[in-house]
Amino acid sequence: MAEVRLEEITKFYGSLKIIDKLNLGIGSGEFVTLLGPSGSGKTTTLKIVAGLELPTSGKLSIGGQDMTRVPVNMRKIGMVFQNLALFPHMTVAENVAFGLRMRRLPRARIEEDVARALDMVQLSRFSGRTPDQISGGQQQRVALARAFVFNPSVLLLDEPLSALDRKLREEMQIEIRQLVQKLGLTAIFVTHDQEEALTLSDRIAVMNNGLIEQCDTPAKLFREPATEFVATFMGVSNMLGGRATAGTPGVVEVAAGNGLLRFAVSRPLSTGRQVRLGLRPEDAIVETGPVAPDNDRIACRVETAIFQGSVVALGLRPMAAPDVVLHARVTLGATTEHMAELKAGDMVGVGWRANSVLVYE
Amino acid sequence: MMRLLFLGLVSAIFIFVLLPLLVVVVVSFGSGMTINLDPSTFTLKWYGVAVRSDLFRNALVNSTLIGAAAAALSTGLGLAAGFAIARAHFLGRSSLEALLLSPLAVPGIVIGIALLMVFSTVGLRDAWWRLLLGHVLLTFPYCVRTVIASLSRLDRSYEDAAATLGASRFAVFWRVTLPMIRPGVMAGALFAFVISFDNVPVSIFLADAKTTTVPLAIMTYLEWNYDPSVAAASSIVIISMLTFAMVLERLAGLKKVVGG
Amino acid sequence: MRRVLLLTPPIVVIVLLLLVPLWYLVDISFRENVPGRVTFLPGYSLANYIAALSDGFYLSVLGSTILLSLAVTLVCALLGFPLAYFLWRAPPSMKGILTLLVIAPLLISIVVRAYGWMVILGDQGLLNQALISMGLTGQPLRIMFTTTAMFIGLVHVQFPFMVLSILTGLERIDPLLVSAAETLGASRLRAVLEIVVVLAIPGIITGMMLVFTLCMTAFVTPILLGGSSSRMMTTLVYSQFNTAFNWPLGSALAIVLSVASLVLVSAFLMGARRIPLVRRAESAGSKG
Repeated sequence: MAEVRLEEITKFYGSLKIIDKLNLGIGSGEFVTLLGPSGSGKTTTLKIVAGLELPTSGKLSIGGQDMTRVPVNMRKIGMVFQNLALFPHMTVAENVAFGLRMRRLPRARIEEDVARALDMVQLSRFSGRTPDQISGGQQQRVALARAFVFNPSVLLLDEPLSALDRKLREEMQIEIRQLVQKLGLTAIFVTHDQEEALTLSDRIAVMNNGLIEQCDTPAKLFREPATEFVATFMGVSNMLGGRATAGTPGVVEVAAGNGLLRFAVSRPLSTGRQVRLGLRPEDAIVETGPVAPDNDRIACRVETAIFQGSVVALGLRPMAAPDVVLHARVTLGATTEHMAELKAGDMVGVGWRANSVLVYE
Repeated sequence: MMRLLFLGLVSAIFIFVLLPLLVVVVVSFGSGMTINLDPSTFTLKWYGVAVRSDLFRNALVNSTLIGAAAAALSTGLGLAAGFAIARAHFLGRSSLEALLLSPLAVPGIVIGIALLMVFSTVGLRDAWWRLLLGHVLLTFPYCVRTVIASLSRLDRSYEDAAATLGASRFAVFWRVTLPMIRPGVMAGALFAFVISFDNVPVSIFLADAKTTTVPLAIMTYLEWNYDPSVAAASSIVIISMLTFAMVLERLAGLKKVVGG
Repeated sequence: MRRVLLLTPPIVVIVLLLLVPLWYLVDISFRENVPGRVTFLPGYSLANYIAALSDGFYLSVLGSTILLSLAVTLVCALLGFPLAYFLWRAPPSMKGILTLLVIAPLLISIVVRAYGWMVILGDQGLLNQALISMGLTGQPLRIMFTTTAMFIGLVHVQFPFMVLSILTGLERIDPLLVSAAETLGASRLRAVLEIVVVLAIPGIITGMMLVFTLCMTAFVTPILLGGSSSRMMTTLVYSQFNTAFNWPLGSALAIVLSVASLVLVSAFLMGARRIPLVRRAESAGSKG
């Protein structure tokens, strides 16, 4: 286990800038996920740490040593690839033993380590099989075992679970987390799945266009997304642009179509300022029935109401601004049970507490 | 370091592969049999000699006509066989396909001597017909292969759409299927022409003094002559064939036709 | 019904132009020749085969044909693999052109290619000119009309077939496997040897079988580059038909050649399959 530090890493493909002055420090034993859409540069960053790509400029250090230009086979990293890349002509045991063989360890030692690794992933019984003779989930575990058996400085995982079905995926997420913790490995995981990132990571680095927009613990990322991009990525599906009309406390008017919507926010704003507001669907407060004129809830007509078991997802059209759709997710509980009965055409009022409104300038 | 060695090896191999062809073209411009790389001595006179040679001219006419005829016949046979077999699953289909492609598996020299003996016994003495029949046998398997490959790759929904729009079976074939497999079929035809043009092991047993092909003419010439007109004739062959190769690559991808 | 109609012409062509002549060939090989004439004695005999298989001269020609074919096959495999690997890893923009360069010679008449080598290997050819001007030799080296010339010519002619076979096999291999091996500590060379070469074995075997067969029955290259010292079975067959007019013997020799080729190739395949590494490579490839 070692710490990894990326300093001012930049990568160009021809004239295309893939990664732009990226800085990231990962502590020893930490599990960090690089999260972002395709094209965000997350896989390229991982490959730079692996040594499969070289940065155009910048410095990479692993365990305090400069590894920027060290050839891939001399870094002590373990990597799990998206399509696993298990050697088809070798057995499970031989696959796992490969890295140990390359390090010229004595035969007895190799056998021991392989047996231990396979035991940790519960595949001891399958050591003599070839990859095509085991299931997808088992192949995953072989790929893992192969990568950690020689105690790498850092474990790199490139979207390894994207080909698995939902249930298997969730099981593997837990297994990976436990395994990495047990071995005390530093791990860097790449994915575009926000839920996966939240499950696995100590910290998440949200990437967009070659930059890290925010790197924080899952909780902080969720509650305090630093930029609009991160907010949208984390599920803040209501993003509205408006103008501040009052200073302290701030009030923002959103003009849409012919109408105006008003939102109170908890931070001070300079009047006239253009801002973007992020409203989390889960934070919406919904009241059934028509809205009294003095109430500061927004009167809306229900456009869609989708029952999702413990939650009902609502698409609401404000009467004052029918061009806008507001998304709300109401958890069904003792006081909110009746929300499950909502259907298109019903009238409700919706609002957000000032301190739950995200403001971006 | 390793990388440089490797690239060096690969370059050397490439040179090995292309050297004879380059040499032939260079010699054709030369004034003697030795390689002379001095451009000031380049001359086109050997091209004139080659073109004026009766032997070469007759051979060229024969090779071209027989090649074209063989290509046409093979294309027809290939289309017939291809349509009968492709996209069909019936008992014995793979055996039938193997049978139709079997000439590819028999050594050229064996085909040559076998045909020679049969033609002589049966009384077919005209070298022109012997050559044509022999070349058709050699080339039509390639056409079968390309037609089957083209038809397999063709998305059935185009033909289905035409049928639902009222086209008769023949109209579907003529206006939809055929035009869509045309590049592949043409590639097969071109390839058949080239195979026929270049062939020696079979042709050498079926040709005679009056009717010969270009490769055989070059061989004959080489027996008692060593001047660059051979190089000139060969260069003409090289350039035309390379042009064909490029057209083939454009039409259908060379690897698919040659490698099967 | 339509299918039968469509298939009739092609099948007729095969039967009349291939099957019947081949049957005829086999039949004639069992006849006895009337010396100097293209007719045979009535009745069947094994005389030709006995001669072909017991005469020292014929056997030695068969032997040298086999040896030369083996040598050409090995060299083609050794040179073909690096080139096929290079093409496999070439960037897509260059791949087409480079592959075309390797395959295009196939479309150029074998006579022209042989002639090219005559110009290079001749007493006053390119090679000797270069060697003499570099002072590496005083007298021109005699290469033309020797086994060496045949060897070089055959390697050149068969090379594209080997490259194509190996390349086809390589295309089925996931290039990521090499990267995976490198992340596990293998040098590029080690990764290629342990992963790529092994997984390419089926393609290499196919290539070797193909090239060997083509060499055994190669005709033009040995005649043009080997001249009278060309001790190849095909030349022998040719002279039986062209000079001696001994069709029965020529046919028997041709059949002996074909059978020998088939037997050797089959033996090679069966022998190769006994090697565990080869079996593994084949089963890995078949599921890929």
